[in-house]
Amino acid sequence: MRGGPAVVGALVTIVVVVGAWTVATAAGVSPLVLPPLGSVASAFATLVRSPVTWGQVGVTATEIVAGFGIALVAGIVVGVALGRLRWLEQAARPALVAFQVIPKVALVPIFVLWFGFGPTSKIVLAALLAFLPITMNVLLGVRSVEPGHRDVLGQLGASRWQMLRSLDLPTAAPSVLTGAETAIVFAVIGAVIGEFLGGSQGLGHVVVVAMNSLDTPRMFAAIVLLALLGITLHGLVAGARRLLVPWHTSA
Amino acid sequence: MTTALEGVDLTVAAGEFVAVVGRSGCGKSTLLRILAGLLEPTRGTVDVTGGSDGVGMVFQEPNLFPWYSVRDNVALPLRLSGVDSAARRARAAELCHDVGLAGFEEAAPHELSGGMRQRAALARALIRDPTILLMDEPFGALDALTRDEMVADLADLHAASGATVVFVTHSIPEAVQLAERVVLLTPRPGRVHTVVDVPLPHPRRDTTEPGFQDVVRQVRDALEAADS
Repeated sequence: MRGGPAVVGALVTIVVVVGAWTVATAAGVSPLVLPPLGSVASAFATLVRSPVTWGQVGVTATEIVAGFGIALVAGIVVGVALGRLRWLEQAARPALVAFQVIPKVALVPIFVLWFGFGPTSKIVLAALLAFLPITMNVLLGVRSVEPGHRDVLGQLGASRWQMLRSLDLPTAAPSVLTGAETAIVFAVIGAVIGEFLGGSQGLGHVVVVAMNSLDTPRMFAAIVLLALLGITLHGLVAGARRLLVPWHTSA
Repeated sequence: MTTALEGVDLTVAAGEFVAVVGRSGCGKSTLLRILAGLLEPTRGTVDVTGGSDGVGMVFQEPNLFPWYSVRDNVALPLRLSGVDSAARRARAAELCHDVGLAGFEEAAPHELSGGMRQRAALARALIRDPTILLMDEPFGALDALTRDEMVADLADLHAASGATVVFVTHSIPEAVQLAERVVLLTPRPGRVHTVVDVPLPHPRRDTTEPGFQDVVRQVRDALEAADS
């Protein structure tokens, strides 16, 4: 357990944020800018009691998970290929750099045009944002196989499949899951930005509607719900990592 | 391309313990990797009686897989050849006992000391009952005390198993302590320079004994003669 300091740190952070918020609202900051905590809490209660909200949560969660899933599969395939074939990595490098530096969010109008206002355009954006961290980590993971380990299996006459199963996959697994942890956060960003910019569904859309109707407490409440969704999904991926690669201690 | 080895003509009898010594870069490891089947010789032949199944190898690093327990590491060669898990377990327990790791079967490699990890690597090399055991500076990374212990235990294990051992080292006393013959390899390209017989009775615990020192000096002189 990392224990004490982390718990204290978390408590201090909460106290500071809540304290600053309370002081600010009491000091007369406009509730349009920063609503009192109480009204955010009651807006949150209203929000989570409505079945419509859970439908929106479902839409956003589906977009995130679908985008993440696509990125995971594509990232592993591309990452293994690039990690194994050096010439391919060299050939693909300019494309990868270009892909890394273009602001993918700027592509949203194109995706809306191509894939419509429905969930598909959000899934594409989520997958696009999540793809690189997975690919890069898989690439590094595949490359980090120790020559000594390969010698052991080589001397024992292991087949290609046995090498993959006993060595390459376990070696790459920690990197894959580290990449997945970053990627799930990116997928959340992708889905929510997609919902901000076009569409009529999802928690991102709830935030935008609340903003347009100057319902600040509801806006904050929806953001809190989004944050909880992101934390939950990240927690699941991080938990999977601890479960699947317990030998990897550099957490 | 540099030639690592040239004209290495060496016959090792069954059950014999041969140590190969030489300076860094003399091709000791290359020789061992060829014997292990990890490298193809560009010219010449290697005849290993019993085929690759009969060969076990210990490297300078333990090279244990961190995602396996000690037991699974030791049993890895059996898993690759399709032995069922109950038989693997039993055999791994036997081997762990033989190398002094009884009770550590469930441990993860990182929980072991350097010497214990090398013991596990030795158990893994021995689990298929090899007729030939190849060892590439296996104790090179260990501290002096652990090394003395491991040398003594290896001598006992060899006496008990009767396997042929080819042992690469850069420590002359270590070679003399273990081997029946010490092969001196000289570099660029690697050749067999001298073969020194070690006519000393086992166990050779006392390295300060005159007879022991004589053989060490003989090998050292040959090494110096090769340098000049």
